[in-house]
Amino acid sequence: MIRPARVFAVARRDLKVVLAGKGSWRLGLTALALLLPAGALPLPEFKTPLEIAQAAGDIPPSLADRIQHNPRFGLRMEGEAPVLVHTSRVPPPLREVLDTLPGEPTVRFDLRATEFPVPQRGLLLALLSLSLLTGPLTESLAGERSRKTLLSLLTASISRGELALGKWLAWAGVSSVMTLAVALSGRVTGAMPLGLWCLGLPLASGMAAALGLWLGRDAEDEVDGAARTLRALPVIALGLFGAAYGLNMVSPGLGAVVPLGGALLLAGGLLTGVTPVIGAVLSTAFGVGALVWGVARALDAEGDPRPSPALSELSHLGVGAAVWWLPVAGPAAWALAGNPDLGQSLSPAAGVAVGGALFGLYALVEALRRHWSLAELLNLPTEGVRSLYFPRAALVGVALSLSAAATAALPFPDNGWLYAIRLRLSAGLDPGWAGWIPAIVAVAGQELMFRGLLQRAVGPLRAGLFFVLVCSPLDPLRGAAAAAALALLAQRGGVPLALIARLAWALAPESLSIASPGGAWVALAVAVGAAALGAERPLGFLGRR
Amino acid sequence: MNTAVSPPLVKAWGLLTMSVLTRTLREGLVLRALIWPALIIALTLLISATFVAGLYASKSAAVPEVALAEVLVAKGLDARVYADPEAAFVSGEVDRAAFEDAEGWVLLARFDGAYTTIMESELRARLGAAWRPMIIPRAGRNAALGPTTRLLVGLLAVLFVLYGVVFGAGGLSRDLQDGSLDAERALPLPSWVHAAARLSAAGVALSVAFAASVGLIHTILGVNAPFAWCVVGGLSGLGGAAMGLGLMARAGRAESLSGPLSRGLVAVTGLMALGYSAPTIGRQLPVASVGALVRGDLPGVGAALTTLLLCALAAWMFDRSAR
Repeated sequence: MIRPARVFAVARRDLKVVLAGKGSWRLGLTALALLLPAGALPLPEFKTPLEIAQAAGDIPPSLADRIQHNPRFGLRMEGEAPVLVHTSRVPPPLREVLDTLPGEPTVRFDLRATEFPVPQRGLLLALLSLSLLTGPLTESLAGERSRKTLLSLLTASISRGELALGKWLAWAGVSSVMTLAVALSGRVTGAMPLGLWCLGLPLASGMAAALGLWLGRDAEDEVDGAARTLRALPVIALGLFGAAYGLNMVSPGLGAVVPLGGALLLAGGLLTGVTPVIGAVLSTAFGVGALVWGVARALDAEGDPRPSPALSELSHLGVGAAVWWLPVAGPAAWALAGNPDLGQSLSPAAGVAVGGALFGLYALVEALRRHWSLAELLNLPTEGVRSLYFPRAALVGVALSLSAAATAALPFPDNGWLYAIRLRLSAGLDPGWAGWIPAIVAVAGQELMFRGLLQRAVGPLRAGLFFVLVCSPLDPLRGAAAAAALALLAQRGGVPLALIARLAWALAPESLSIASPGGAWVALAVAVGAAALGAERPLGFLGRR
Repeated sequence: MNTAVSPPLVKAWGLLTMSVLTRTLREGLVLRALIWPALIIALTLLISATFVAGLYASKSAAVPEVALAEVLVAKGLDARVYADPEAAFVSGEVDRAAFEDAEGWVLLARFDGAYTTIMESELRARLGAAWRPMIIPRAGRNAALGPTTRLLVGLLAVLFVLYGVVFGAGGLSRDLQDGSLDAERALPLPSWVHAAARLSAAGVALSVAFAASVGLIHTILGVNAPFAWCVVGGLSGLGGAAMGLGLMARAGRAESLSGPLSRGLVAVTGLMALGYSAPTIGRQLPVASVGALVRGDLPGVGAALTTLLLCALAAWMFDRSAR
């Protein structure tokens, strides 16, 4: 049960503690410096370069008085009959002038693009008010925890819910009052007319206060809490705004159902009508309720908890995917975005090398964080590696190199963007095309990551699964067979054996590949079988002491 | 100050560096701070490209003549012949349509981008228009990208230099507060070794993280002189750490972290401004060489020497503060 008197008492106390001394001045001055210019000052009017008829190069004399000559502008004109305009997009003002040439317009250009509504200044005001809350919210909860005053509050005769709600009320209230005051001053200066959008300001403040408290709910101290809020709050806010904006484009008013996103749409003047406004109020109320409940539940936590093992494993998968996909497959995005020149000017080999180096770096840093020795990172067996395994690893590698055609018969849409990305991601299994040095860096990094760090940290099965998901997501069967063979090798002799197999695989001449898929699958089976066989006599110097 | 360097001292220096480095990297906050900037830049670039791809990558076009369709297909568009191109456009079947009405030729488009321009260019060429747009494929990399990428990597370098100041001053302040510096100083080692270990740990962490960031951005956007950036970023990060450490050591226990930190940040800003406004001088100085490289001036040998001098000065201040 929530008792309003106690909620108000907590809010009053929180305001007194945080705003004591210079706190109130600091908050007031920051608000003044941030919010007032955004909300109350009239904006100067200016034109973007595309709103002016301008060009570099040779402007025809007949148009010289109507087109500004700007040698640094990215659009160049030359010739007279016809006038050639070197650009990927003709700005409307320039088109208007060009269409006055004798005989024009030969072609009437009618652009019927989707209209993307531009948010009003209220959105800026709401977003700025979120950043204003970072400091007080951090001091409110994380500060109490570090000063050990949270413990005394928890022993007082108030419920966890009243405590969390009181803290939320304090900062949602302060932020709402400040933003609404700025909106009013904007009305006075004539910068912003009052309207339904003003309702979005307290809604956004309320949701942001709840989100900020929730983000720092188990932070150990102010620094930890501020770092979390500073990093996550803007990203979450913009993400939710983007989601709400997208939904609103699909169906006007639908964006209101996104908590915080709906409130930001309203503040930006992008929601009209009563139903969407009610939707924004309800979604915000639901969001605030859920977050404050989450904060109340976490109040008993003893500082920063260890992340759950599942989350930790997922973070390995996420980092692995990011460090490999971004440099290796990322440049393909430029061609898709209509700028193939840029994509072609970037070296795919450098991407493969950087991806491999980042894998290795991540594995090394994680090993340092876990206090692992080099032998532990290399996953070396305690009794040492058996000598017979070295030639066997090379044999496994050669067998794997024969497997390129294994999945050739499987259906795959070999056109468009997926094809371009598949070509680049093939470096996950076959980095040889990138050249010797990038290939060696890539396989060394992959083996340290998947057969070293992950095989030891999460086990061979999950490490193999992660390898398939990150390094061969578009060729999973072949990736799984390779992962099985390499994991078996690493079980017997750690990263060095898997590395020997990968190097033999990457550097084997292409002429070794078997053309038929059937033969390639036999080669994969041979690789897995050879890796699974046992052997005698370990080499002690390659063991873990 | 005992400055004799013997093999056991070098070993102790290495071990202490490793210990400081491990302690630093075990803090999730620090690690995330080193990783996030480059990752966010790379992700933002690619998300933007994908968004643009979603908006403008459609190649569909409807035309009334086979000959025009063939020309457009040769230029990379997915052009097809329709009896009524306008109807195909209105129904949403295609994103561009060219047709002739009573007043002349009309080009309808849902996107204003490269493929629409190519279509307009071909159409105008066929009709002998007085002007037409042209897209000439570049033979090499767009030279206009140079200043943009320099600025982008420069901003990242500024961030790493600021990290350096925070590592130098914050690390020492924390070790002063929790007593770990006193425990370290009980070791039979000259005082400068502790400073050197802190600086080398900060230098290694910042250089490696910055090089990885430059590498990532280089593969996605292309960076002019990536190795020069790695050198400048590494040296400047070390320079920032030396400033932070020296200022904090000078302040000692008499002052909290905020004073030396703000002095360090002001010094960094001043040096950056010097490097940017006077690149010929800035390229020979730590931190300022970042500003110079943003202007396109490669670092000189002086940058390495002056960074080492700065480190020596910081170690001397640290040594003096221990007495």
